[in-house]
Amino acid sequence: MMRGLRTSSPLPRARAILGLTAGPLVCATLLLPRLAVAQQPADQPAPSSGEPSGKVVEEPTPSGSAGGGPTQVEEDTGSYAGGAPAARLLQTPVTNVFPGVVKRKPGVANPVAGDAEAATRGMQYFNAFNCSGCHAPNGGGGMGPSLSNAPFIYGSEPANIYLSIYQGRPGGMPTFGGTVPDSVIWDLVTYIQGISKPWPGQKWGVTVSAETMKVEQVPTEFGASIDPWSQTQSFSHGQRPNSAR
Amino acid sequence: MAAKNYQNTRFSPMEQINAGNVAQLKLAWTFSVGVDRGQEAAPIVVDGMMYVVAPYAGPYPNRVFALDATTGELKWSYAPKPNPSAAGVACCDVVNRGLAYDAGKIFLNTLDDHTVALDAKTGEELWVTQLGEINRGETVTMAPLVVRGKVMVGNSGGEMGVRGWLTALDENTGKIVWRAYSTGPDKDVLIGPDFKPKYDWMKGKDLGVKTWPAEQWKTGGGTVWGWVSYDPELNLIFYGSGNPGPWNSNQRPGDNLWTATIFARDPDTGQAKWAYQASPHDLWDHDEINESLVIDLEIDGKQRKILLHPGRNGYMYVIDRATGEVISADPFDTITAYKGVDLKTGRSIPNEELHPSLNRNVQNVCPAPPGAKDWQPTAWSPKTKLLYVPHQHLCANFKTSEVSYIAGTPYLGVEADMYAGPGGNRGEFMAWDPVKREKVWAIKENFPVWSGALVTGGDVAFYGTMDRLFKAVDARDGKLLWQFRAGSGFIGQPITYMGADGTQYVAIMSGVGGWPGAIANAELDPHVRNGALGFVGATQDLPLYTAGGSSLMVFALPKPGDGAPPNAQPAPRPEAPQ
Repeated sequence: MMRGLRTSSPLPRARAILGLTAGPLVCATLLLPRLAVAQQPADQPAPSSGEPSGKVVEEPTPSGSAGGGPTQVEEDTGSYAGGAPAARLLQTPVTNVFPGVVKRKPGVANPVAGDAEAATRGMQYFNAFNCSGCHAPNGGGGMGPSLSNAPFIYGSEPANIYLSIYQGRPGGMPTFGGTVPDSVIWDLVTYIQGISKPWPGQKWGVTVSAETMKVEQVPTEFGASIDPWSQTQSFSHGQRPNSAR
Repeated sequence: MAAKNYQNTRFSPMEQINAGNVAQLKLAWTFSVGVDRGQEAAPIVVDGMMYVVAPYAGPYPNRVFALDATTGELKWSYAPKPNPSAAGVACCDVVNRGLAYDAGKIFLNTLDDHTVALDAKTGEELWVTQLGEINRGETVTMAPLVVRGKVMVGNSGGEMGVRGWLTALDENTGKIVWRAYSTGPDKDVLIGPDFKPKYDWMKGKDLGVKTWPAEQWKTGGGTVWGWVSYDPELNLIFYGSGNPGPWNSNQRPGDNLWTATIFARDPDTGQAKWAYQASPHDLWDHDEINESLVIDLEIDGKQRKILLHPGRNGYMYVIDRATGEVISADPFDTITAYKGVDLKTGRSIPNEELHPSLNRNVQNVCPAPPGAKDWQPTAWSPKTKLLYVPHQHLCANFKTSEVSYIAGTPYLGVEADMYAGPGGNRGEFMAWDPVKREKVWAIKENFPVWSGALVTGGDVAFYGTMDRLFKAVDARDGKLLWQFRAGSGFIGQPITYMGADGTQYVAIMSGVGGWPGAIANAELDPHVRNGALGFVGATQDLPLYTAGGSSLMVFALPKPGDGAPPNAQPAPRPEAPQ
């Protein structure tokens, strides 16, 4: 019968998943060497699989206090160190409400932020781990919410996206942490950040009207891209896509 | 039961509301189930009480409400223990298609694979049985049906590599009496000495294993999430199984029995009597879970016991329900994916020109993955001898790719992109004559008609549209008689019943959603056509027409002194539809 995802170290876990693959293993053979590559230690320490790192990174003490009044909110962006010690990931807020009115931003950076190769790998993982089944090709959404438009329910910061993949989310997002290597997750974060853009013509809010529904992405059956918003066509109103006409 | 009767006709002989007066229909009362997701459930009415179930979302997913069917007064509600993660493995919104009643009990299926029995009078929980596991991608969305003391429940998850089954539970204890899988060895499929399929290619031992590459029947789909009908005379239940997994057919050479198959079974033992696979080696996600109506027809001068099955693949099947013989199978919508159904062999004939070879972008596949008709149930009038068919009219682009099986995640391997079929309309409500084998009349609709149908002795057929109109049409000629603009689009099942006050009521849930409507009630992007397994392409403009809703709406004719102006004239008859 089907095996669960319960082996101990990241790569065997990923192989265990792929070992469940039925049919020709083009995906898996494509993926495995990449997974091996992804196992190489990054320049910065990657987050561990949830074990305490033993190293506590000091969070800068929030300056200011609640005395400043409700409209004055200070930000603590921390230092984006690259890589992500687990202790710092634990401090990642997933809300915009801060007791004491001191806004904290995660002090964790994506070690491969903006790297096109990482985004391309991320796009492959997005398919290989069936992310595209729920969130749809180009992140249009379906069983899972859309990733093609900000904001995300559990936060749009790289650390938020990392944690959503790593921990899963109660509304149905599976827990991939400990199943896929951390560098794979950062590649996915890079890809997801690249496909997420505001609605076309978006101001502070979104107007939905016949006038604002002007464009759609070229659908993926005509080609995949790490920057799908760079390939748009006129809105089809449910008719055959213009790219096919 | 959601389908009104064992025959699944959804016909009520009531005629207080009729073609002559339905134009005066008014809202009597409403009720909110509190969850603005797709409302596919049929309310059911028993002994003056109405029971309705909410979708699986919010703090009280799949909450059941019991109301006085005449006044709308809330009598009790019941909330099953929630497991919100179940929503993450539900393919097509978090719908529930309704409850069932038998012997003083209400039966509820929850999205997270539990069946619950409640005391119909008090709402007290009597038993709970877990039937499946969300970590294997299993959910339950269908309405149960009780036959001879057994509650019939099937699983959903054909997009998740689930192995499909239908399970019978003892209505008094919740104990599993039998389970019939849709794939695997004969002993699991409950195929034994009684099994006599009409066609030779479905004869042989363990075809549920042999028509698959090694082991793949274990993740092969064939889920059972549609309708069960029953013929007490033959003592057979009839239901269909879903698509094979994965969607990418290149990874599963073979007929993939017993997916996309109609089964006839003994309800007491589960043993299969016959089977008919509508789409051998399905290429396009063409489940055959659609309802099979139990009706008798005179064909070529002979009375025949018929199953009338409006197929997802676009063919209207007239089947001998004693033997599984296909008497006729005629297209009721645009079909490019098949060349027809060979009545000698019983096999549907795929159009080889559109074969979805790996990585090929196949265009203009009609019908699209949801088929010419999906779950939305039809209604049959014994008066007009017509079948009233709500359905979609869609084609698709379809591109396969390799996919790996990871339990609890989608198992697809397809990028789909759907759009309106020829003519530009995306739906239709039509009447079909199964003896003459032709469409009698049709009303084109802008969006897929994803609501069920109801037809009455008053010769009125009811259905709802995704752009918020609940409509009554003349069952004889399709003329529009009345319509009501509601708060949200309709994908529910209309019913009618007699109130304690002697008034005939018509009820339906309003609340757009489901596979085509998630774009309007959830976090989906209308600019990305491949969303929602490609359905966004076809309904991307739905947010211009509606948002989600949660309203049960109950209608009746105005009574004298009921607020209607004393000299009110009947509303003018609206223009006939084209």
